[in-house]
Amino acid sequence: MDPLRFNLLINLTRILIQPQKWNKKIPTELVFAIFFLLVLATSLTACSPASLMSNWPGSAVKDRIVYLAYQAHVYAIQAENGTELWRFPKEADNKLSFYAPPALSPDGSQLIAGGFNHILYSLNPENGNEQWRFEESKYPYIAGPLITKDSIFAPTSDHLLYALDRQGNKRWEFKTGAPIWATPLYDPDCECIYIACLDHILYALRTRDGALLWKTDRLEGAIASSPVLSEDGILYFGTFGKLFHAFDLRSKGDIWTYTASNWIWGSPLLIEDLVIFSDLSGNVIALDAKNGAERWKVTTNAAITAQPIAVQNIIYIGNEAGDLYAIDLQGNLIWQQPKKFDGKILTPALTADEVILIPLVAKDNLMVAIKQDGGQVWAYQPVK
Amino acid sequence: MWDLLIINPMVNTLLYIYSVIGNFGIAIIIFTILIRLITHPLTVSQMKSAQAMQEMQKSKEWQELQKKYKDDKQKLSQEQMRLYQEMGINPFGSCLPLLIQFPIIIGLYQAIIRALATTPYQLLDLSKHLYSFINAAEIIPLNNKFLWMDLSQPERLPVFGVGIPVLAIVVVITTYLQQKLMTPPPAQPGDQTAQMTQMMNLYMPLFIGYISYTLASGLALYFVTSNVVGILQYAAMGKLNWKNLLSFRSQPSAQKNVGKKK
Repeated sequence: MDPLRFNLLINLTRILIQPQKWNKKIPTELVFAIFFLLVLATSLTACSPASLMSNWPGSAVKDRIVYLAYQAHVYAIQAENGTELWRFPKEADNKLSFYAPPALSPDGSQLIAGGFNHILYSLNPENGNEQWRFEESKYPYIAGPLITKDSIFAPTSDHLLYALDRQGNKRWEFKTGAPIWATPLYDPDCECIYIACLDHILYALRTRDGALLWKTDRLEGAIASSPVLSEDGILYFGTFGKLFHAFDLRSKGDIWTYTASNWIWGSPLLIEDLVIFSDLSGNVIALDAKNGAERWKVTTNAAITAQPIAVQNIIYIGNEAGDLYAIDLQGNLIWQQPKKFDGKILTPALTADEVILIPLVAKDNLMVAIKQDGGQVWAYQPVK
Repeated sequence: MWDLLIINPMVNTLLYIYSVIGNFGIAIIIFTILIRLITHPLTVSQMKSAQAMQEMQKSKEWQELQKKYKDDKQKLSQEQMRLYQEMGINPFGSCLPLLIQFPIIIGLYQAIIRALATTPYQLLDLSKHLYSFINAAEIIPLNNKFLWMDLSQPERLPVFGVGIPVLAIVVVITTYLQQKLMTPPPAQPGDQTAQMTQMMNLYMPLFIGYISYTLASGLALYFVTSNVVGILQYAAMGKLNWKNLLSFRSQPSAQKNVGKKK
């Protein structure tokens, strides 16, 4: 408990039990009982779900506009200079916060954002006006939705995946065994989606009607991020059981696995013949995508949960300590020292016109834009 | 330090019990019983201390002091302290267990919320506090359903479309019962102390009930278990005050008792 709150409690207790008011000696047990109640009240309130709901930002970028969902708002920010274009809602509502990254429809006419208040919003990307809302979920949206030409697939922590049409009408739902924290992955070849779930299972569903096409056995750990699909039909994903899987869609089995030293949280990156991913020990690992042989490994100083991104064959990945690393495809560090940010980097960076956009878990700057040499272009701090 | 000494052991014990039992609600119940057993010596010491204090306040010497120094509060306090020392009573003896309970309740609540880890940020935080003997990959995510409850959310039992906070009501009832059954009759009925005790007996259950109504139901489950175990502990020691349970206006009956003794 911080000293300020402690002093406040002491003073409140004194006021409540001041002798001149009660005119009698108050037993020590009562003094402590009142003190106890006050401390309990403030401590529990301070650690109630509302205050523990520290989250991390989710972002998307299209046509030089960044959409950042974090805390009480979804922000639209100009990628070249960090100017805020709009925010949703206009006034903060203490019942509404955003955990899930927003998603833009392929035609750019809809921005879908799921709230922690169990509501899925469709916004106009041009001005942030609400188009419709879907209120059927009883639990928060943690994962970002997937939007195809005619459908929206919105996973919830209600153990459900909702399939909606683009007007927000429910088409079907699919129940899993645990919350879904990963955005579904669309595969046009089978007209199906792959859902990685915390119940340790990867599902394949037909997009038309939600029919289960197949699912994996219960794996060694929860899957918290989306798989990545290669052109030759291999799904790459990692689990909290420290295993990284290369899963062949034809045989419905692993062609190889790799054991990391800690939980694997973020999605991998496929680039050239490499698959690159990270773990909570702070390792960035590059494997040969064909056979899983380790090509290189870079160890950073803190947990990594974000997916790496590549800009002109340079890998950028940040960690919980707020350090951003630039690594070439041979595993060499581009910068002698990582670029240090005042905040945690827990979600993937984005790129727009060769500018790298870093979403931060921080009090002040929610997003920082840098050039490829690490020089800062702008920092976005929302006006309160 | 708080994490190291309180939260981490609690979280890991809870998770260990969960890994064996497979049900987080039952894990909370077992964990609460464990905590009550560990703090049993403190409960006994609190009870003895409170009893000694009651006896002392009923003594002639104490009563005389009250009369003699009724206009000199400072002197009265000094004399009372002297009496405490003479009779070998620590005036804080019955407060210490209360203070010990306070970090346990807060720690337990934080441990429950941390273990349930309903958001990625919380899960990332949890991953750093796990002991090596916990097979976290296997048990995460925890099944937070218990009976009709989601232990990470405030509890409501839907009855004809209306959410009834059953557990919060049970918390209020058991807290009230516990207080009534475990509070000894006031040494000087009708005085400010007795009135305040009566007030606390009423407000404490309401306050704890409000906490249970608004916060995660895992905490409410802890309160109910703790109350029931507390009552059983006192019952096992033969110290339950059944008369107190039926006396809604304790003043007159208590006064009668004192009168008889005199």
